[in-house]
Amino acid sequence: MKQFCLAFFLLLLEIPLGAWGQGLFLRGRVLDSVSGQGLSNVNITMVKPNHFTITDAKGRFNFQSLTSGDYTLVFSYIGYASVEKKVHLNMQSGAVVINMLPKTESIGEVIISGKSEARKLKEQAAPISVINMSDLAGTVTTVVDVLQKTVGITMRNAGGVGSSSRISLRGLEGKRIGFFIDESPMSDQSDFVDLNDIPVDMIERVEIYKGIVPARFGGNAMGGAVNIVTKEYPDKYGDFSYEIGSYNTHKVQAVFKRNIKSTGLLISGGGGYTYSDNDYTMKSPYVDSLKMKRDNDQFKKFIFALDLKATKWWFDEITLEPTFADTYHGIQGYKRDFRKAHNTSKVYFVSSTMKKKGFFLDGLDLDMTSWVSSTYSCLVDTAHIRYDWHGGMEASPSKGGGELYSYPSNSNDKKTAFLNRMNLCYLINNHHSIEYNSVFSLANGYPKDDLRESTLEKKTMFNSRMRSLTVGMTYNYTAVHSKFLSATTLRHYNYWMKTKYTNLYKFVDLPEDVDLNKSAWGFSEAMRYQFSPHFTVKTSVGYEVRIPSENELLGDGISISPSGKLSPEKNRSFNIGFLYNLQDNPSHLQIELSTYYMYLTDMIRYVPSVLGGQYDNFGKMRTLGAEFEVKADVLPCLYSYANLTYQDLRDKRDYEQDSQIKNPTKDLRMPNIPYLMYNAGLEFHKRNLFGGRNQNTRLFMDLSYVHEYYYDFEMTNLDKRRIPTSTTVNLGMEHRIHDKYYLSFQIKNLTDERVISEFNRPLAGTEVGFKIRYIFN
Amino acid sequence: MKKQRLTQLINCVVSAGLLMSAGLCVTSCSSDDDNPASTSDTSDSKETPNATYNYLLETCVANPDGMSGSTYIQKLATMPTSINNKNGTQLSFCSYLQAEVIKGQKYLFAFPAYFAESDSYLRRYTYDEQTQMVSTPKKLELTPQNFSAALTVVSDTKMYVPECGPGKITVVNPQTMEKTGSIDLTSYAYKDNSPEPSCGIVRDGYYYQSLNQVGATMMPYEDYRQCDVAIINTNTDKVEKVISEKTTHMTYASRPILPSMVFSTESKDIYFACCGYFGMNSDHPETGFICIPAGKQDFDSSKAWDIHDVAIEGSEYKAASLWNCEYVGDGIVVAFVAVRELMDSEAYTARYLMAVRIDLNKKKIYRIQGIPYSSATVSFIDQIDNLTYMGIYSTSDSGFYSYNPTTNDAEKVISTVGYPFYMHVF
Repeated sequence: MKQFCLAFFLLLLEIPLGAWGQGLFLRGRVLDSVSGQGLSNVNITMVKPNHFTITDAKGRFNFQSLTSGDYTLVFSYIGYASVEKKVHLNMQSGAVVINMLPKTESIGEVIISGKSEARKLKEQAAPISVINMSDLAGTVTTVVDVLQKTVGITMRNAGGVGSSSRISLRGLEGKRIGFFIDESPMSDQSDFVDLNDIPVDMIERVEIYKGIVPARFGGNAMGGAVNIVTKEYPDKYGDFSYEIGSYNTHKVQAVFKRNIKSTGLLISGGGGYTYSDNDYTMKSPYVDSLKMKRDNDQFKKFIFALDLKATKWWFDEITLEPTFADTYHGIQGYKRDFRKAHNTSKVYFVSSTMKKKGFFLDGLDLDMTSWVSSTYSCLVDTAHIRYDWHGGMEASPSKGGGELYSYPSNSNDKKTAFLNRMNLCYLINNHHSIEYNSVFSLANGYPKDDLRESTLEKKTMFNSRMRSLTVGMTYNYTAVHSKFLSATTLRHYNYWMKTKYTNLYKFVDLPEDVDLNKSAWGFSEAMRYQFSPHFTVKTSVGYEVRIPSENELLGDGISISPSGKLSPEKNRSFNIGFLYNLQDNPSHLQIELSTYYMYLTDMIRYVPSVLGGQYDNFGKMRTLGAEFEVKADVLPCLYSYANLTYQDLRDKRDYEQDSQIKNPTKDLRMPNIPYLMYNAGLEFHKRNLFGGRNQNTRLFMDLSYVHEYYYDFEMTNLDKRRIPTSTTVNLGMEHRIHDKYYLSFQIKNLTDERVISEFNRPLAGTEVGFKIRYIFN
Repeated sequence: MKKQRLTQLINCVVSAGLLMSAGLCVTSCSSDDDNPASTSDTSDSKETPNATYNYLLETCVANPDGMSGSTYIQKLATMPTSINNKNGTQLSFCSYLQAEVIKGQKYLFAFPAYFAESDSYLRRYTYDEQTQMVSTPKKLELTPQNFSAALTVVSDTKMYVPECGPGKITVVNPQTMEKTGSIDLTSYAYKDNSPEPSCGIVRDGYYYQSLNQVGATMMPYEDYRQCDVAIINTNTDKVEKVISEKTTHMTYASRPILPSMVFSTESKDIYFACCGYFGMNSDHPETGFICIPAGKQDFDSSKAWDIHDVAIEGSEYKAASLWNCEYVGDGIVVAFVAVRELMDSEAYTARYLMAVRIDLNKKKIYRIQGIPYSSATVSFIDQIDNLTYMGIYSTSDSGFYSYNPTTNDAEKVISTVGYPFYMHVF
């Protein structure tokens, strides 16, 4: 009830404030002249006075703080002919509508257009949600905040700032969900990057692929993927922000960019420092009536990156981006009061991107990214005393110390990795195009922990060499007037791993060589048909596979034994979605309904035993789901959204593993996965709400509801252990002055709801944050 | 209120379930008609000569992550032929139970989950036969990560609860469930800071506590292949001495979760069953029994018996590890032994436990025909009157089997849904 009162309060606020608007603003939309779709990220330059902006996901733009007069706007977008438009602005001026024509060049009878067009068409066929950060600026502080608002997604956080976050997309999570930054896979070997490491101010948009993952992403994702697209800043740009929040959280970020036009070089850089004590008080999951203050979850991260881009060399664009990140994170105890155990890591990362249209052949476009990284990570767990939450202490089990396990750790692990992603797209004509995609990754691991080895009295971790190659071919078909789109993809996965393994429980045997080679095929087909400018239907089928992860194949050297026989997981999926979009209506109503079916076989599950355990292929899971979302500009100053997710995941195994024992949990709902949740939000935005000029204010409220879900397979008719329903409300405000100064304030979990994440980990209650940002350009 | 819902929910479920089970365990057959845990739609029952007993059954079902799941306990008035978990009460995954009668009072002790996430409470449930009511469970918080799964009743006011993790014995008054003392064993640890106290037994005013002396891998140290036992005066709670059996190289004298691996014969000889390296280390195959004879406070190597190279009649295999056992009298032990040849690369799903009858006097081992090989996750054995019951999770079925040591007859008596984890008859 509290949340509805707040919503009502915001609605009341809107009525008198709506009359406070002052000044003139120039707004409009940019459309594809062929499809009529809004174009996002179109660069718009106002010649005098010199202003710059880009369109949002719906193609909308807005210049503020203008006076009556004539203005010249230049619209430019890759793959489209630039448009220059003169506009007279006065009190009666309406919205400007710009139609941009795809750039085409005639060479004989072959029509060739830009690669971005083909890519764009393919993206439109795939089931995808796109979140434009310009719509959310100031209302979110992390990528997790963004994803949590998205239909079909739940986030699994382990704790405070810097804690690991797992995406659960349509009930699938972990390694099954791909994580990409600018289309480069981050989840396979680059486990040093977490979702929340990416400053939201540097993000252009977040793309969420559901069910099937476009081939160009390569990687090893099966149930979906999240691609974070970073910003392309204006030629001359600077951005500085500072945020302070609960539990002694501080975030400082800075970005600069400079275009040296005479040389065609763009130099940009950015960095950030995040610090948090994360010392919130939580109710113990294990001891009755005990409240404990987190005292070993301190997080520090420093990250710095440079970006050198050349646009006048043979390539249309070639970039070099060195990055460095340094992280410290304490390890919070729950059963025990850990006081010293912590992780550190240092990452050196260099990436390069090359883009070229007409790559040795007219119509052939190249987009290639490569990166190399070197990671040094340490787990330091050498405390000789263990504490309980009552202050009691005892010696660590091992003479070498250790709070976490029965042995100490002081590791110095090194990993070097290389990745190359290549996309070649050949547009045969306006109706047909083909794409070749490959992603090759290499990772060599060099674990080292002398202290652990001396305690275990044997070496259990060995150097490893991993190679993987994903090759995909995609055929895109676009019917006349772009009403019908189709993307057919065939992929092949290959994975090699060489390392050694030793049986922990034997003393004299020599390590065995491990030489694994796994391969699999995948297929997907995505189609879109536009019945009218307002009504679109999308459908897709997929047969996707996931190669087992290193941990699943090789174990952890201690309690998880290797399982080299593991087969890839396979997922058959079918999606159909309906999109109703009233773009031209002032209310901008958008309604989307998606339904899907998935059947996962050879599901990899952990099999415990008396001494440790190992992974095995014995799971089958069927998912039926529906997602419904409504977005609307209810009033010119009030935007609202609501989405509802229902996902029904059921165990489908006929028998227990390696036996003819009937599976007692067949057809039962899969535990530990939410099945009903909804989100809703309101955003009120008003110019000069507090008086003055050239100011814009946004007030927002988000509500998130997760229905109680099952802790276990539910077999009993008696009382059941369930993870309780949670309803959280976030409030916030952003105030912008002259498009240069941004002030934002947020309250998360307003009602101090007790929220428990996976593994019985309590999350923080009410949190507040304040942020100031300055942009100079 | 909402913020406390989960904790309350879990507490209520666990409390209510155990109370119900504990209470119903001692109700009569007729009163069980109202017991939701024994309604006929969830189980098939058959009248047996044991029909006056009340059966407490515990089964476990794992979640997909394999690391969590549920334990279900159910009470039935008569021995069922099959049960499901529809009327089972949930407990933490793989919670070990132990029923005891102390000063005429029937108690059920529930230990923290051993292999899964759990709190650290030892819970005691009491049944009042006069009022047919059960009291609120009394709880005692043990050390976090205690790895406790068994206790030994010393007297009406004292019991020893070995805490394998921190290396101590917590002394508890079972009637008040208050901690009355602690016996620190860490000074007897080899190489590390805990000697890993496992199970123990009381004889003539002394408590014989096995010390497993395992390393960080949870296996015995390579250079310490012996069995240590601390002898504690039950009046003073002081360790009087630690004795060692070094001649046989047998190790791991009793598993912390299986108190029946320490037993006393009719002649008061104490035996410890040694599982060694669980059959996983072919270089150290020693497994079997070691003995502290009646009237002595030291091992008698002549009474030790390493069974790893003993032929098993009725089988082509030999015992790679003595996995669990139950002494049933007259020198007969009913046991599970691990068979190395059946431990294939999928050791965690393989069925490699063989049910055997071991004759301590004749030094012979016989395979019990009619009981299939079982998964190592399940190794329950208990004796009820003249029958021995064994939990079996084979490739074709799961449930409890009975074995009559006198007639050598074995048959399946209860089909279960999930691992047949524990059974008790009040």
